[in-house]
Amino acid sequence: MILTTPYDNGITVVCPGVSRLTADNCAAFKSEVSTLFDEGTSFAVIDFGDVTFLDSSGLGALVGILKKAGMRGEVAVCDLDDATSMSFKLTRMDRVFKIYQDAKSAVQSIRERL
Amino acid sequence: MVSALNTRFGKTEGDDYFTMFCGIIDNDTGAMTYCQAGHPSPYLILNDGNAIPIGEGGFPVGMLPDVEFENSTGQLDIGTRMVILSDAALEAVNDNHEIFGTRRIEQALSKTHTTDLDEFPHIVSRVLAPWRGGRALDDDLTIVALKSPPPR
Repeated sequence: MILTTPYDNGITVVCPGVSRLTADNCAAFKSEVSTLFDEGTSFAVIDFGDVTFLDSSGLGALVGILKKAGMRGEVAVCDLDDATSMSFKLTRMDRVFKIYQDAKSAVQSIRERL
Repeated sequence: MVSALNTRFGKTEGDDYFTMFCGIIDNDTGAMTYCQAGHPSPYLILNDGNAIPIGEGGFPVGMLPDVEFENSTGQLDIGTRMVILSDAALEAVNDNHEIFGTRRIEQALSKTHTTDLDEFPHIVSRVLAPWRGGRALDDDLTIVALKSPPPR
């Protein structure tokens, strides 16, 4: 389901591989992304470029990934459309996840921080 | 209260959480104090017919431990209606996978400043039915409509 692009310093960009991240598929998404942290990823950037809809279960799964990553890693998101940005704001997830404009700027910004 | 619920429901395993909107309205002054915990913004239907969303959002309940919940204040003047909807209305998709969204809800609720409270669920389902092409919603929908009573 997910498509991953590994970068240096343990950064991995993750495309969910679905246009709608919902109750129907978010469990698989969560388990696949969580596995990345077991395999050496320290920074997962979830790229929402191809995602047109995130429902409340999808949002729950994202937070679940964050909790699973725990001290081992960070989860950031990028390329949110207006509706997804709005639900991040409504639920204050804009204070929980670092939000980047696109994958390139996310990777660059994380690199600069290291 | 919301913080206590967050502690209680944050202890459960899994990614489950819920959103809520709760508040206290002073019937004498119309002053309203509320907490919006991740729930979609309710609409105030003002006496001029405009439907205005209220609230800046907030953390959902049971999602993250130790987060702060804030109270906000507003005003519910005599006759002003307030309509609280769950996310199923906003997230209802049509055949093109387009969500119904806040703008269409706002449109449906505008000019309802003299409408009976009992009518609001019908107003919403009447606009959602053609949007869904008659198909049932994917999610459950709750609608609460209230208005400030006249002075005692």
